[in-house]
Amino acid sequence: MKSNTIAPVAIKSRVKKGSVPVYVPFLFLIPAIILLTIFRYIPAFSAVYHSFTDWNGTSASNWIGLEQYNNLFSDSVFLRSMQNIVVYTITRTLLTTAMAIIGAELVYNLRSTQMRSVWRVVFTIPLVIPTTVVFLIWRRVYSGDIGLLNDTLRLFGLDGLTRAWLGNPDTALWALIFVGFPLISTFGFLVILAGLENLPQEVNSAALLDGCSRFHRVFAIDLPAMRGPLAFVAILSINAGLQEFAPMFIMTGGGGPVNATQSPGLYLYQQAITYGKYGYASAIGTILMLVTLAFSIFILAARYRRAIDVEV
Amino acid sequence: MPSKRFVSTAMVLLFTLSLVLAACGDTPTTAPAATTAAAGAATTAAAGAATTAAAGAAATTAAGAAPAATSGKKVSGEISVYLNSYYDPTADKETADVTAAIAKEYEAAHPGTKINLVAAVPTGTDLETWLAARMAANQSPEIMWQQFGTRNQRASTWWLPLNQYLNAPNPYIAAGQPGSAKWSDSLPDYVLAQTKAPDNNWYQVSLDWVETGLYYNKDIFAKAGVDPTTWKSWANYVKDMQTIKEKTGVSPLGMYIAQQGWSNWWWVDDMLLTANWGDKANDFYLEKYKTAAAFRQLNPEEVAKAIIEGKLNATDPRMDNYLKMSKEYVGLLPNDYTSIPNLDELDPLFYSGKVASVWTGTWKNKTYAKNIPFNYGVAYLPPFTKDDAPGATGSAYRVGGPSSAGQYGITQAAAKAGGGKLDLAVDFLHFLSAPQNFGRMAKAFGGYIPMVKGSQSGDVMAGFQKIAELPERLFNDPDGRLTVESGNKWSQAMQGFFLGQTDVATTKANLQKVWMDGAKSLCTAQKYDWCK
Amino acid sequence: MLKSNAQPANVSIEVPRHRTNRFIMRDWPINLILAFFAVITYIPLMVVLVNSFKDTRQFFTQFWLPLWPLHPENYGKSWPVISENLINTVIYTAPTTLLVLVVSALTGYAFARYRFPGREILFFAILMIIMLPGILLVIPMFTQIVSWNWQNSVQAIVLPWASVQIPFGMFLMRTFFETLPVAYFEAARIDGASELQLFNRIALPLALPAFATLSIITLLFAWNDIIWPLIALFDNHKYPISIGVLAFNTTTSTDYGATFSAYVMASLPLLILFSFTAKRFMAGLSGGVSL
Repeated sequence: MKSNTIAPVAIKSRVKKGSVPVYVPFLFLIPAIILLTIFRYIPAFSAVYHSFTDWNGTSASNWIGLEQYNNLFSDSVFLRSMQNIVVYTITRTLLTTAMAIIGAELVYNLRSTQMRSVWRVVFTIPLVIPTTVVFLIWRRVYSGDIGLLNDTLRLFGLDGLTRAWLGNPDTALWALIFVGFPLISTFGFLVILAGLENLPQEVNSAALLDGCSRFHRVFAIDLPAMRGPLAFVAILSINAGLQEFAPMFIMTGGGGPVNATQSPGLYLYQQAITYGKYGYASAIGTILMLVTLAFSIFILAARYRRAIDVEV
Repeated sequence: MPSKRFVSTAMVLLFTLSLVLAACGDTPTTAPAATTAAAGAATTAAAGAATTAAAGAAATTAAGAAPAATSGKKVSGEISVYLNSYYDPTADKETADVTAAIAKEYEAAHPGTKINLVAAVPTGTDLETWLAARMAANQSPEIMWQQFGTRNQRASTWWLPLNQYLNAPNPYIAAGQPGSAKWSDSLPDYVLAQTKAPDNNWYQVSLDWVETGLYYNKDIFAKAGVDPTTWKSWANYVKDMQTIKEKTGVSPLGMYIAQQGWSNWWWVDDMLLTANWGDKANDFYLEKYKTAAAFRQLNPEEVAKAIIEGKLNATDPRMDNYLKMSKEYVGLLPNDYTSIPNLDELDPLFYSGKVASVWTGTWKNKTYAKNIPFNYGVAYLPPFTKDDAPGATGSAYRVGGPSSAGQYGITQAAAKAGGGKLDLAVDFLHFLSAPQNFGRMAKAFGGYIPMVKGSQSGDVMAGFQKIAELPERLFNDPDGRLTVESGNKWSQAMQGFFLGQTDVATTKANLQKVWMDGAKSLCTAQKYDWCK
Repeated sequence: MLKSNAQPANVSIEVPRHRTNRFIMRDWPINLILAFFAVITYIPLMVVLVNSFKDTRQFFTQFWLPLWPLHPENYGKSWPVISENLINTVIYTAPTTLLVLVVSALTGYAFARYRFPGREILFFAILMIIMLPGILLVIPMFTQIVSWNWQNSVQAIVLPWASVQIPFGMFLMRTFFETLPVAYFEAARIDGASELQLFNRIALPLALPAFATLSIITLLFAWNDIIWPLIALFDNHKYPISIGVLAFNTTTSTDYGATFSAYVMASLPLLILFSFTAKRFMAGLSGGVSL
C-alpha cells in the first residue's frame, strides 16, 4: 500500500523484496508510536471531540454537533484572525526564507573557510535569546513614544514617517511581521547554508568557468538544487506561523488594536482560558489544524525521490 | 573517532549527572518544599505568637484583645493555600515569612493539620492556564486567589458559594468585634457589594483593597504652571492637562486602552459613564441590593435589567457627551495608548519624563518611592459639574477596588472531597481573615489596604484618605458590569471609535449591541426572575 | 573507512587551497555586509547584557545604552535563585534529549531505509503532530498526567517534552539517513549483520552530526517552554530555568536588573555549548536536510 499523493515517484529498492520480515520496520516505530499516542494523539482527539460539544473545561459536556463550527464561520473576529494569520504566515515565511538565503549565500560565497566558520558561529549564538525577551525588545523598537525606529527616522529628518507602529491598525500586523529583522540568525539560515555547502563543488566551479556570474548562479544553480532544504524550512515556518500567538499576546495587548493583529492561536487561547469556552476553542483549533495541513500537503507534494534500502 | 567519543561521552556524563541530581533533589511529591513545618511540631500557639512578635510583626495586635486561637471545632487534614503576593518567597521574603509564621501558628494550635502555602506563580507566566488545568484535574489549591471578575464568571463551576459562612460567626475574631457574630460584618459594605457575583453569591472574601490616584511628575507640572490642588471641575482638569501638553510637549496622562483585558482606561470609562448617568442611579438600583450608602456601584443584575428594560441605552443622547469627553481625554494619552499591553509598560514613559502623570494604584507606592528619579505627588481627579455632564452629581468618584492580592475563595473540589477538607479550608480562611492575622500580612506587604475591620491600614493609606471618602463610581469596570467578554468587546468598540474607524452614531450602535448581548447572555446564564 | 564517509559535508568545506588564501582580499565587501547584519542581530543580545547591570531606575530611564554606576550585585541576587532552576533544567533536558535522539533515530531510520505498507501514511500522521495547536492539548494532557499521579515528577516533564520534539527529530533523521549511501548497508547485510546491528553499527555512528543538531534544537525548546512545566510542576523549587528567570516579576513590581542578569546566566550554558558545537551542528545539517 502506498500513498500516491505523497510519494509521487516510484522507488526502487536495492535489496530484493521479502528479504527482511515485514514486522522489522514496525519494531523500530514502536517507541515513537507509544509515546506519541499517549502524549499527543489522545489529547488531540480529545480536543477534536470537544469541538462538537459545549465543554467549559471543567464539568461534563453536551454533544451539540456542528453548532460551534456554525458560530465560528459567522464570527467576524475569527474570520479576521484567519485573514491576519495567512498574511502574517505567508509574508513572514517569504521574508525569513529570503533573508536566510541572502545570509547563507553571502557566507557561502566567502573564499576564506575560516571566515565562513566565524560567521556561522556569529549567527548561531543569538538563537539563545528567549523569545519573550525578543518581543520585549521589539516593543521598544516600535514604541510611538520612546521607540528606536521613530528616533532613527527623526535622525534622518523623516519626522513625517514616525508613528505608533503597534498602535496603528494599518501598521501593527506589519510591525509584527518584521520582528527580528534582519532575520539572519534563524534555523533556516543554518539549514540553507548547510545545504549549500553540501552542493558538489564541481558544479559551482564549472558554472563560474562558463562565465556564469555569481549572482546568476544563485538562481540558475543554487536555488533549484536547494528545493529540499527550502521546503523543509518553509514547512516549519508555516507551521509555526499559523499557530503564532506569543507576539500578539505580548506586543499588541492581546491582538489589538481592534483585532488588527488578532490570530487564531490567540483567539483560541482567549476563548479557552479567559472565557472558559473550550468547545469553541477546540473548534478553532481543529480548523487551524486543517488549514495547516492543507498548506503542508501543498509543500510536501513537491518532495522528491528517496534512496530506499529494503522493501519488506 | 574523536567526534563519536565527544558526543557519546558528553551524553553519558549529562545523563549520569541528571540521574544523580534527580536522586539528590527528589523529595516525595506529596511534600512540596513550600510546606510549613509539620503539624506535630511542639510549639504552642502562644509560643508561635511570641516568635512572630519578636520577628518584627505587629506585637500589639497579636497579643492584644486575646482573640481565640482555635475555633473549638475539630479540624484535621491537609490543604494547599495560594495567597498571591502574600506568599512569594523569592520576590518578597519578608512578607512570605510573616505569612508562613501565621500558618505555623495555625498548625500549632490545631494538631493534625497541615497548611501547604503555594508560592505565587511569577507574573509573565500564566496563572489562568495554570488554574484552568488544575481545576480540570481537581488539583487546585483548596484556598485560591483569583481576580473577582474572572472568578464570578466561573462561579459555581469552580468555586464554593461562601454565603452561609459569611452569615455565620468567625470564631477567630474577638468577641464583640465586628465579625464575631457574623463574618461579613468584618468587611465594609462596599467591598461585599463589589465582589458579589451576578448570581447573588459570594465566591470569595476580599480582605484588602486597592485605592488609586494620579501619580504626577511635580517638575513637569510646575514647568507648565499646573497645580492639581486647584482643580474644580473636569473641564478645568482637562484644560490644565492640555496646557501641559502645549507648554512641555509631554503627554500629560499615562493611560492606555487594551483590546483584551484590564487597562487603566477602564477607570476613566467608569467615571465618564458615571458622570453622564449619575442622576439616573435611583432608576437602576434594585431594592434587594440596598446598602447604607445613597450612591453605590451597580451590580451586574442591575445593569442587565436596566439595559433590557431600555433605561440604560447606549444610543441615548447622553452617550454623545460621553463619547465627546472620552475622545477629548484620549488626546491627552501617549501615542502608544492602543497597544500598551500592561501597566508596567507605562513606567518607562513616566520615569523618563515622556508622560507627566500615571493613574495607578496603591501597589506602586513602594517601588515609586524607592526608584523615581524626580519629585512626584499623588493627586486625584476633580468633581464633575453639571457643565461637564448633565448627569453629574457634582462629585468626584472613588476609583478603588478589590483587585488586590487578598481575594480568596474555596474550590468546589474541596467541598466535594470530604475528609474534613472543607472544614479545614473554612476554618483556616476564618483564621487568616481575622484582623490580628491578616493585619500583619497587609502591614508586611504594604501595597494594599486591609479591609478587615480592626486591622491597621498603615502607611499605604497616607495621601489616599480623602479619595477613600468619595462616593463610589456608579459603573464598575467594563468586565464587571455584565460579563468579562462584554467588557473586552466594549474596549474594542471604543478603540475603533478613537482610531477613527467608526463615527459617533456607529459607535453608539456598537456599544448598545455590546450591552444588549452582555445583558442577554447574563440573563440566560443566571435565569433572573425578571428575565423571560 | 567510515570516518571520511561519515561527514560528506567536510568534503565541501575542504575546498582547494588556492581558494582559501589567494582571493581572501576580495571577501571584504561580503564581510562588510555580514558585519552590518551582525551588528543589528546582536543588538538584542547587547541590550540583555547592558540591562543586567542596571537598577530599576536606570532601566526605566535608558533602555538601550549602559548607565553608570554598574550594578553587578544583580547577579549576586539572581544567582542563588536560578542556580536551582539551572540544575532542574539539566535534570529535565538530559533525559529528554536522550529520548528524542533515540526515538527519532529509530523512527527516522525505519522511514528512510525500509519500504513497508503504510509507510507514507504513518510518516504523515507523525508529521501532523507538528501542526497541533499546543495550548489546546495542555488540559487533556494534564488530566492524563494527574490520573497516573505523575504531577510534579521528572517524567511529567520529560515525556511530553520529548513527544513534542520527536516528530521534528524523526523528520530530520529520516532525511539524514536517506543521504547515507545504500552500499554500506548492502555490504554489511551480505556479511550477515542483523537489522538491529545495521542500525547500531552503521547508522548510529554516522548519525552523530545529526544528533548534535537535534540536541541543540531540543535544548533551545526546553530553555523556552514556560507553560507546560508551570502546569505540571507543583513546587517552585522544581521549576526549570524558563520559569526561574521570571522569579523577579511580581504583580506589583518587577526587578528588571535581576531579571536580565538571570537571562544572561540562563543563556550562558547554551552559548558555550553553541560556540563549541557550531561546527558539528553544521555537519549534521550538511547531511542535506530536505524533504
